Formats: sequence, structure tokens, C-alpha cells
Amino acid sequence: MLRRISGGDRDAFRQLYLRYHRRLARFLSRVTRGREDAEEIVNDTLWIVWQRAGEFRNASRVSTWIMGIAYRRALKLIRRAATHSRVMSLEGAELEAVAVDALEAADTRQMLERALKRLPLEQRLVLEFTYYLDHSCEEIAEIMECPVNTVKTRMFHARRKLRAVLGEGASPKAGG
Amino acid sequence: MSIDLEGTSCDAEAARLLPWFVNGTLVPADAERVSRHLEHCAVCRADLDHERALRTILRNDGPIEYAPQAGLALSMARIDEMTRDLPVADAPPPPRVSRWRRPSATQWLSAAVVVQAIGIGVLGWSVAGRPGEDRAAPRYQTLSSATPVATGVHLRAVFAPAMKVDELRQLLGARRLYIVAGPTDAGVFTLGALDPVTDATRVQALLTDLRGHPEVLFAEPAAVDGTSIR
Ligand SMILES: [Zn+2]
Repeated sequence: MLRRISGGDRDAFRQLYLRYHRRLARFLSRVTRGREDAEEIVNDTLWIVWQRAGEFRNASRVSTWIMGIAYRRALKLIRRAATHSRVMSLEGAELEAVAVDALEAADTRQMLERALKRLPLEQRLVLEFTYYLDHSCEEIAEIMECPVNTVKTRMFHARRKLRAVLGEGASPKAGG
Repeated sequence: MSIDLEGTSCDAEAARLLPWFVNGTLVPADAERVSRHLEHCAVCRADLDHERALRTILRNDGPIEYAPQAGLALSMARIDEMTRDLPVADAPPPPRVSRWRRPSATQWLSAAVVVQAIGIGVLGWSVAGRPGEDRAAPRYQTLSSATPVATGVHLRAVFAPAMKVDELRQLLGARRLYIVAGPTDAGVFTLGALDPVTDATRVQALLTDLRGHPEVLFAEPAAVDGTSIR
């Protein structure tokens, strides 16, 4: 598929676009400010795929390669947005504020969303790559261009912080 | 509560692998290792339930649907523009990814409009594409009789493939729109307004109206002559 795209095959590109649009857009809309940002990154990403399909090496899965491109585009956009408004950081004193927020939230899902938004971006992304997109630890390391151990550590911190926010009494129930 | 903040949490490597045990992506040896650890670690067993519930919640994110047609149409249109300007044998151009940012995307769309206007109005549709590539004349070009001078804001729109010519004519007529160019390979039309609309609020109202139409898959502004509507 990528070889056809690198040869300028529009039909192949169309197929790839349709195959990846949903996966990318849904994921990206979760970690950005919403659908508009997500669509922008999806288009960016698949445009880069069109241009660089010839650079793909079979060492990695196609989905991992494409997700890596999306990840770097998302980082840029999110970091640019973050310079305008203070977002996505949960350190020290903020933890308390979040816990209060959490108490006021209507349900577990909302509390979880709030807690997720306050996770450091890298931790949030590892969580989403793992649970939302079912990537392996090694694939995430490739996507994020970091050591596997860093992925595990980020995940560990993310879990710990979510637990601190959600607490025992608010242990998430599936479907509730 | 399974991870105790006071320091009695399990810190085995198996505990750190738990999330990927949950999503089923561990290599067999690691999966086996986690299984064995779970047998004698109550902390991790509780964690396992928690992580499974967390995964379920994260994956169940409501009925948000995304329509890929609009983005696909834009991307294909962009490829059109790119390939039209480039000799095919050359090395790929340096990536211009930053041009997709919204402000410059408008610039790009603006350039596209100009190229198309020239192609149709002056040269006919004989703009050089990739060798061997068909570039059919825009099918609906004759829908608008005397083509007005292009002024004010232009729009780009994609209509449902099943839309009939009559319906299209009616849709455009009711909104005093005419076709400036299109459709491209990707089905993108460039539309102009018979009563030039430059006021951002009115453009937005027009777009909202168009997007609400069941046969309009996609509509967005395209600026011409330096007119910015953002
Ligand atoms: Zn354990």
C-alpha cells in the first residue's frame, strides 16, 4: 500500500486515508482540544504519509509509523496551544485542586476525564496508546521515540495519579 | 485501593507490565510472567480489575462519528495542486507540512482558486498534469450562464455523489451562488456569490446554511484577492 502511494497512486492514498481517518481522528480528538484540531492533525499526518511513503522501512508496522507521525504533529499543536493557556500539568498542589474538582464531578466518567486532562501529556498519551489504541509497549516506544522503560515509567505514573484522583470510593465501574 | 500512596505498593516489574497484559500485547514470556505474579500478589490482582475497568471506560467514548469525506476531498485537492505544478520525474518536494495550518491553508486555497480560475477562464482546462492523467473538463461549468467577475469571498464545497444536477442548480440558485470552478478529481467545487459577500458574519451564516444541507458533504471558505474572512 505504501509502495503504491510512494509511486503517486491516488487510489491507494484514498484507501489509506479512509482506513486511518477514523482511528486517528477519534484518538486525536481525545488528546487535543477537540474535533477541529483532530481533523487538522489527521490531514497533516496523512499528507506527510503521501509525501514520505517512500521513506517507510518495513522494520515497523505501518500503523506504528503513521501513529508516530500523528504523535509528532499532535505534540507540536498541543505545545503551541499550551503556550497560550496553561494546560495538562498535574504537579504538587494541583493534585488537591483536582481531587476537589473530582468530588464535584457528576460521575466517574467525568472525574476521569478531568483527571486525564491534568496528566502530563506524555503520560496521558501512553495511557491512550495503550488502552485506546491497544499498542504494545515496544510500539509506543517507537511512536514516541523513547526507551521502552520510559514508556513503562510514564504508564506507572499515569496510573498512580489517576488512582490518587479517583480514589478507592470512586473506583471506575465498566459501563457506569 | 491497590496502589498505596504510603509506600506498600507492589513494585515488581510484572506490575509495570500489567497494562499491556490487559490489552493483550505482551510477548508470551512476559504474559506468563505477569500471570505467575498475579497468582501471589493481591495488590496486582486488584490493580488488574481496576485497569480493565479503566480500559473499558476509555474505549467507550460515545457515539462521535467522523466524516472523512471532507478531509479526503481537501487532501486530494491538495495533491491535485501539488502534482499539477511539478514535473513528475523530479524528486519529491521538501515537505511543506506547516502550510496546512489554518491561516496558511486559506492561502493555499486562495492560490487554488486563482489557478482554477485561470485554467478555466483563460487557458481552458489544459493545465499540465501528470503525464497520462485525465483531467476532465468540469462537468457543471455550464450551469451558470454568464460567469460573473470573481469578487469577494469564494467557497469550496463537495456535494453528495448522488446529488442530481437539478438539485445542485436549485441549491445554488436559492443562495445566489455560482460555480467558479470544479469539480476537481476529488469533487471539490469552488463557488462564488452573485452578491459579493465579504462580511465574515454573512460568510459564516452562508457556510452554516450550506453545511446544514443534506447534500453538502463539505463547505469551507476560500479567500481571493487577499480577502480574509477569518
Ligand atoms: Zn504485584
